[in-house]
Order: sequence, then C-alpha cells, then structure tokens
Amino acid sequence: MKKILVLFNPRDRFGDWWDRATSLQRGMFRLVLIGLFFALPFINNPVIDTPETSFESVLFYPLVMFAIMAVGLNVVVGKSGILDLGYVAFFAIGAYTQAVFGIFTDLNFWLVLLLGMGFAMLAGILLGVPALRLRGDYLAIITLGFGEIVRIIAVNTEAIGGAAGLTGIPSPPPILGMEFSVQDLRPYYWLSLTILLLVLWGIVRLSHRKPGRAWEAIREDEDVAAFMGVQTFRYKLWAFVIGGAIGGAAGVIYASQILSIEPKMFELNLSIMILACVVFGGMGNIWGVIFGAVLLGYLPEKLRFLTDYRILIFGILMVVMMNLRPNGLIPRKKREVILEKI
Amino acid sequence: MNERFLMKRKLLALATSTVMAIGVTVAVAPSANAACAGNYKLYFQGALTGPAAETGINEYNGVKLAIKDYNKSASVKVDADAIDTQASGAQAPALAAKVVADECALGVIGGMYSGETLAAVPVYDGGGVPVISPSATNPALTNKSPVFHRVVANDLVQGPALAKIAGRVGKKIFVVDDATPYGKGLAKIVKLNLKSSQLAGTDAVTEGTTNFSSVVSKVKSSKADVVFYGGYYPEASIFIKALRDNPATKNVKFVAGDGVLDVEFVKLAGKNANGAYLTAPGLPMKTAAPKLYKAYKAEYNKEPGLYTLEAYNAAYFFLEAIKKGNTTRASINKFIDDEVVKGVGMTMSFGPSGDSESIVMNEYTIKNGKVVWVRKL
Amino acid sequence: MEFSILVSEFASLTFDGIVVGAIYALVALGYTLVYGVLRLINFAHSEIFMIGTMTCYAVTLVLGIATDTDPLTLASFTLVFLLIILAASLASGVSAVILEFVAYRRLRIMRASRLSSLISAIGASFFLTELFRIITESRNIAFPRLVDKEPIFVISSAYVTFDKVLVLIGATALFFLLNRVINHSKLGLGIRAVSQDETTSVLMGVNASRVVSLTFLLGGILAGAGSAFYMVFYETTKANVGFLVGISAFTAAVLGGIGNVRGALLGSFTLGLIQQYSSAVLGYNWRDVVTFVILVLVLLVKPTGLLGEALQRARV
Repeated sequence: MKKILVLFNPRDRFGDWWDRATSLQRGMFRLVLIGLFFALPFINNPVIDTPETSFESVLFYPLVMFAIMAVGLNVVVGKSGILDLGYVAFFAIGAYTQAVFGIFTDLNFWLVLLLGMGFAMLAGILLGVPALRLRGDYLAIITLGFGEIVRIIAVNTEAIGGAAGLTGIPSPPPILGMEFSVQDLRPYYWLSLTILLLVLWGIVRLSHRKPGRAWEAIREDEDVAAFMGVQTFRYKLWAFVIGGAIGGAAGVIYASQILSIEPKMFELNLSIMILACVVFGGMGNIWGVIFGAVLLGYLPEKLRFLTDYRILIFGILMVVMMNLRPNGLIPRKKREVILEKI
Repeated sequence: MNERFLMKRKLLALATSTVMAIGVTVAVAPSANAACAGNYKLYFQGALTGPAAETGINEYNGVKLAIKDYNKSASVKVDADAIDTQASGAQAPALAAKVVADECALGVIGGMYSGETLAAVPVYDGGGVPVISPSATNPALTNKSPVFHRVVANDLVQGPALAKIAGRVGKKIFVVDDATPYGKGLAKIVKLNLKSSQLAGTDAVTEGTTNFSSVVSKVKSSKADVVFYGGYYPEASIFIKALRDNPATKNVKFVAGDGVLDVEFVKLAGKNANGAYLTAPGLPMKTAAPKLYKAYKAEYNKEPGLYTLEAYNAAYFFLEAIKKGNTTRASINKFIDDEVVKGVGMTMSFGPSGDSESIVMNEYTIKNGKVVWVRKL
Repeated sequence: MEFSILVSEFASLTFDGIVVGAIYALVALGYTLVYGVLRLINFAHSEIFMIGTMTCYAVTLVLGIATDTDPLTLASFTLVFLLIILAASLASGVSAVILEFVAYRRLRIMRASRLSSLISAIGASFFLTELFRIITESRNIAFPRLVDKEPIFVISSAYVTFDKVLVLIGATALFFLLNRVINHSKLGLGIRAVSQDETTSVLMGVNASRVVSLTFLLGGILAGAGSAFYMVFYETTKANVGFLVGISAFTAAVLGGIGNVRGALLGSFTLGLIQQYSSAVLGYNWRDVVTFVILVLVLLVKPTGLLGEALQRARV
C-alpha cells in the first residue's frame, strides 16, 4: 500500500502520453477538457450534485475560487518555497475593493477588478519588502501576522463597515448577454473559470521562462541560487506580488457574487485551507494544485456530514501528506524528481 | 502517411462531435431547477451547532412544533428543514442559495442573529423567498428587502429602553461593545440615547476575550456605577465575573440586551449574574401562552428558550398563509405583507418596512440563578 | 485615546500586566525550548497548552466540583490544585511526546525541508483545535472558583489577590526548575548539546531522538503546569484558547530572543505590560493588532530579540 502511495504518479503516466502527442492531439485534449468544465452545470445529476448547497454555487465557490487562489498561492509556496500563511489577506483586499468601490462609486466592474489586483499587489510589496529578508519560519509567522492584522483592521474600521461588513455589493455587468444575478450562478462560474484559464496561461508561460526557473532555483537552495547570480530578493518579491494579484482578483469576483462581506469571512482558516490544497495537490505543480483545490473544495460539500469535520480532516491531511508524500498527490515532473536525487 | 491522415480525420471528427454534443446539450438543457416533487418546506435559518446553538435549537424546536401542530389537521402537508449557519454571516449566503434553489421551499424562519440575516437576505430577495425572522434585531434590516419581515422589535426600540433602564439604576454609565454587528449596533444606539453627562466612558472588546482586567480598570477610573454591555453571553459572563471580583467595581450595576439573556449566561457567570438588568423583545412563553408552554415541555422535555414563542409564531404565520391556499412564494409574501394574524400569545402584522407593527419590549432580571421577567416596557 | 488612565491606574495595570506576562512565560518557555533544540517552531504547542486546560476542567468534573460552589479552604485547595497541576502537566507532556512522534519525527530523520515540518506542525495544530472544538461543541468551558479572590492587600491601585500571587510564584518556580534541569542535569546537557550541533552530539554518543522526545516532554509539562495557573486565574477555556494565548506567548518568546530561556521570561513580562497599557489607552479591541505589530516589528528590526541571541546559535 505504501509503495503505491509513494510510487504512483499520475503525472508521469500522463506526461509520457503528453510528450508523444502531436500539437493537434494536445489542442484537442485541451479543447475537450475545457469544454467539459464549462458544461458542468448542464451535466449536473444526482451523482455529482451536492446535497445541501446548490451545485452551481459550489462550482463557483469553493471550487473555482479555491483553484484560482491555490494557483496564486502555489506561485508563492510551491514554486518559490515561501511559506505564506496570510494569503487570505489578498483575497480580503480584493473583496473589500469590490465592495467599497462597487457600493460607493460608479466605477466599471473591470476597472475595479484591476484596482483590486492593484491594491493586492501593493499589499504584496508592502509585506514582501520587509518580510522577505527573513527565512522559513519567521517569514511564515510574519505572513500570518499580516493576514490577521488586515482582518482586525477591517473589523475595527467603521469606514469599511467594521464588524458588520458591507452589504449591497453590485454584481458584474452582463457579459455576452448573460445576466449576473443571485438566482443563476452559472455566469459567475463561467467568468471565474475564464479568469482561471487566463491565470493558468500566464503562469505556465512564466514558468517556462526566466522567472519560473529563478523560482525553482530559489526553492531548491536559496543560497546557491544567489551564488549563481539569481537576484533572489527581486524574484521572491515578484512571486509575492503575482500571488497577491491572483488572490485579489479572486476576491473581487467573490465579493461581486456574494453581495455582502464581513471580516469573519477572511479568517486564518481560509489561508490554511488554500495551503492544504497546494500541499495536497503537489507543491509547485499547477495541475496537482488545481486537482487538490477541486478535491478539497468539492468533497466537504458532497459529503456534507463531513463539513463539521472539514478542518479536522484538513489538519490530518497536512500531517499525513508531509510525512508520507511531501511532494503531494501529483508531484512535480519526473525530471525534477530525478534532479532531486542528484 | 495514410494512417496519419486517417488518424487526424478521426480526431477531428471526435472533437467536432464532442463540441456539437455540448452545444446541443446547452441548447436543450432544461432549467436548473425542477418543480417541487414532495411536500412544501419551511426552512429555519440559525445556529444548530456552535457557541450559539442553544438559542438556535430552541427556536427551531418552536418552528417544528408549529409545523407539527399544523400538519395534524392539514390537507397540504408541510415539512420542516433547517440550514445551520452557526450564526455566522460567512456561511449564510451559500446556504441561503440552496434554499432559494429548492423549489419546495416556500419560506424561511430566520436568521437567528442579525449578522447572518444581513448576509442572507439579499440572496432570499433575489429568489423571492419570504422571510420572517424571530430574533434578528439590527435596525439595518428595516426596509432591507420586500421579502424580509421580523416579529421582534428592532434595536431602535431596545436601545432606548436599555438607556432608560441604565439611567434609572445609576448616574454614570460605561458602555462596552464586542465589535460584532449586533453588539456594536446596540451599544451605539444606547450611547445616542444617553445624555453626555451620563456617559462615563467606552471600550470595545472582541469575541473570545478572556482578560477583562484593562476594561475593568477603565470602568473603575471612570467612576461609573453602571456598565452596559452590548454583546453576547459568553463574553458577558466573563466580564461580569471580572467586575464582581474587583472590589472597586463590585457593586456596579450590569445592564445588557437580549444577546446576553440566556440560561447559559447564568450557568457561566454563576452567582455573579444575580441582579443583572436585561432586556429582550421576546416574551416568556409561560405567561403569554400557557397551553403552548405545556405542549412544548411535553414534546421536548425542556424549557422553551428566549425566542421560542416568536419562532413558533413566525412559522404559524407562514402556515396560516398556506392554509388559506397560498402555495407560491409571491402569494405568501403578499399575505405576510397584508394580513393580520392572531398567533399564539401574540397578534402579528408587519409594516411596509418589514418591521412588526406591534412593538413589545420586556425587562428581565436574574434572581437566585433564574431568569425572571420583570415588566413590559 | 486616553492617557490619563495610565496615570491613575498605573499600579493596577502594571501588576496585572506582570501577571498576564507570567502566564505567557509558562507557554513561551515551551516554544523556546523546542526551538532551541530543533530549530522548529512547534505550531501545535499552543494546542498542548489547550489540552492542559481541558484536563484541568476534567479533573474538577471527576472530583465533582460544581461551577457554583464556594471557594475551598486553603488546605483542600492545595490538595486539589496539586492534583490539577499534576494531571495537566502529565496530559500535556504526553500529548507533546505523541505530537513529536506523529508529526515531526519522520521529517527530522528524513531531513525534510523546513517547509514540510512547518506545514506538518500547522496541520497538527488545526487538527487538535478542531478535535476539541467538536468535543466541547464550540462552547466556552467554565471552571469553578477554587480560591477566594478577595484582595490580600492593595498597593496603590493594584489589587493583590491570592490567585495572582500564585501565578507569579508558579512562573518563577517553574523557571528556576527549568534552569536546574537545563544546567545541572544529564538531560539538560543533552539538550544543550543537540541544540548546539546535532550531528556532533550524535557522534559523541548522545541519543538525539531521545533528547528530542524528552525536550518535547519538558515543554509539554511546562505548558501543562502553566495551564493549571491559567485556569485558576481566568476560570474559562475553549477549544481555540491555544491560538489566542499562543500568539502572545510566541511573540513574547521572539521578543526576548527565541531559543533563550531567560529571554522568554523577559519577553513575556514585557509583552504583558505592553498589552495592558495599550488596551487601556487604545481600547481592548486593538490589543491583538498591537501584539501582531510588535511581532512583525521585532522580526524585522531585531530578529534576535531583546537579549540578542544569534538565531543560529540558540542558548538555553
């Protein structure tokens, strides 16, 4: 059993096929897969339906939202090896941006989306510049503190709603003729799915270029990377900022759907859950991370009786994963593992 | 060469047919919700687990009892169901969405606390689901939505009443809130209703506070003789213990609202709870509806909670509507808006703002470890 | 912001601040000990503390002491308290050893990355918190009043009560006990050796795994004893009490210089005072922000803490 757990790597099997497939085959595969995801609300049936919350609602949150955030956190934790325990802060900043600008101003949704990402990036810089000088545990603690500080400030600041939060957040404007309303969550799902695809495309591109290699080098051994001329601080900051932007974007879309937010929604628990997705799926591996997010988002909703024990299970999961399979269910590519052995 | 060409053709065909299949499914797909298959449902929204579970369970019991009584002689049966929000606004919208999607759901009795109600009402509004809350008292809910109604008086009534009581029992009042929407809101209204000469000072704590020593020090230095606490019973019980422990504040009067009024408060605070002045919009079931009180005790073998009577009557209102033939959300909502219903122990009607037209506020105190009703205000 | 209260209530705030600090110290010592030996921040240490508080409550249940009883006489109190502190120390100590074995041992032997150990620690912490949250049904636990809290004497505005004195004496006594163990026992020698250089100590014949287990045990015992004092003083607990106390205790340990036992003590008292003063001036709801800000500032400006120990070389 242990052997299977340790040796089975779906990525490798799939990876072999992928390497041999032609670009046409790859394109076809992508098209079918994407089409399948978009069509999910229509092929809803009692087998995959979630008992207590509506399926579309679950698809949007937590599935795709978690996936987006997991991809963002993956850039920070998985690719660059920076343990961020305060990721929920970026999500909160994005959500509050949409709330404040949506309620008090008339700005276009897309502009607010950019603003939300901008503020989150700013927060990433503010946190990163001082914090990234530290390593490991201390960095983690500081990010934790940052996440909590953001939440407590939100609670204590009346101007942005205080403890009661803000209500009456507007929905996005109609796209392609589809209305965004509370009754039909499918447009939200498709919108966020599109954003996820865009983010993926961007990250995959980055990973194959210099930033991606720099991040890997930093994660493996920061001192050696510095020796070899990698500007570690700059790339770590970039990881932070990009991760933050992604989290902020997710927050904006989330707020536009949920119509009212309060600080209680952005607690430490959420940071830990996203971290669990990254850890569970396979740190550094984008597809594994998404898989982790989907699984960890879907299962507690499907097995609702588990919801009360959700965090309990996440905790055990993290301990077990780290001890038995520290690289996640779908670890990084084979060639990386081989390099590790050297 | 030929093989590869054939292969390409096959793949292309496969891809095209898949896309077409998806397209067809999209076009022909039925709407996401099917019509109601079974009995109609009334949902309760509140905390069935978590720190506030006592209140929620007591309310839900009231709802279930009302539905059970109704079903005894009804042709159109109704089922009771509940969504457990743990009294938190974070989970409420997603759970509310499910209620909206459930075609059999005709109405919601809830939310239990103001925070979760504020979060859920926009969702219900979008789905046209009528809502009657038995216990959410935050004024922000007034005029929130055409589907929202509440049986209790809101904090705009409770606040001034509390301020009056505070002014009656002492000269200088120190106001503390717990930074929750309910507690902070209530404290704000109380402060507004106090003369500046009466207000000795303010402080705020957070949920989960255990160390009240600095707050007590502030109370002491402000020379207040009354403390008003806006918040819930877990923190209130610790606070009142801290006050009584400190010789300087031992005899300071303690005034609080309905969030503190609970048997748990007495349990956690012990003897220190005696003498506290509390208000609540809720009526004691024993005095207002003795027959129901007996039936409740027979059914559940425990004392009714603070808002059990209100929850019962909220469900009763819905059931009256259904009895009179209203089985759609829209018609039930209209019924709630227009009609006056004589419930059990109270008569209910709602104004256009959603608030109840009959305002009731009660004063309670704790004597010898028991919650005792003092008077109607 | 009212500064006048600092003046009028100075003695009271100072005394209470020191008492609060003493409680933090008991937990902080555990953090600093484990860090010194393993270079690992035991995230779940706060839950070890929480388990201690729950054990204290369980003891009162077993002894049949209702929440509403009158305070005990000095004699019976001493007996009951000894029982509680023994039970809590044992429970916490054993929990700590089990924790190490389940969550950290394998990673240490495999020389896994710091990230893995930290994530495992977080997982364990959340698991324990949730477990007890479910057990206690998210409710607050009320602890009976075991000792009379009438002031023994008054210094200016400060009320000196029996339980506060108990806490102060307790923290000091445990600190001296710990010092004794570290500096005058074989275990202490092992701890100091492993914290200085694990590989060499193993070469010199030290059983590193056993030292690690015993360090966790020691840290757990301290937390458990601390929880007994905590319960007598605060008379309440709940499943996530670990988080609230832990962040403060951890900040205190870092403030004094993590890995440094004397630093943990100094940091704890300092933090306790700062928290009391800032609560009075800014309002209690800003207290946690102040704590976090201090944590962040210390880590940024002087990561080695007040007593300035080098992060690499921890000294106990």
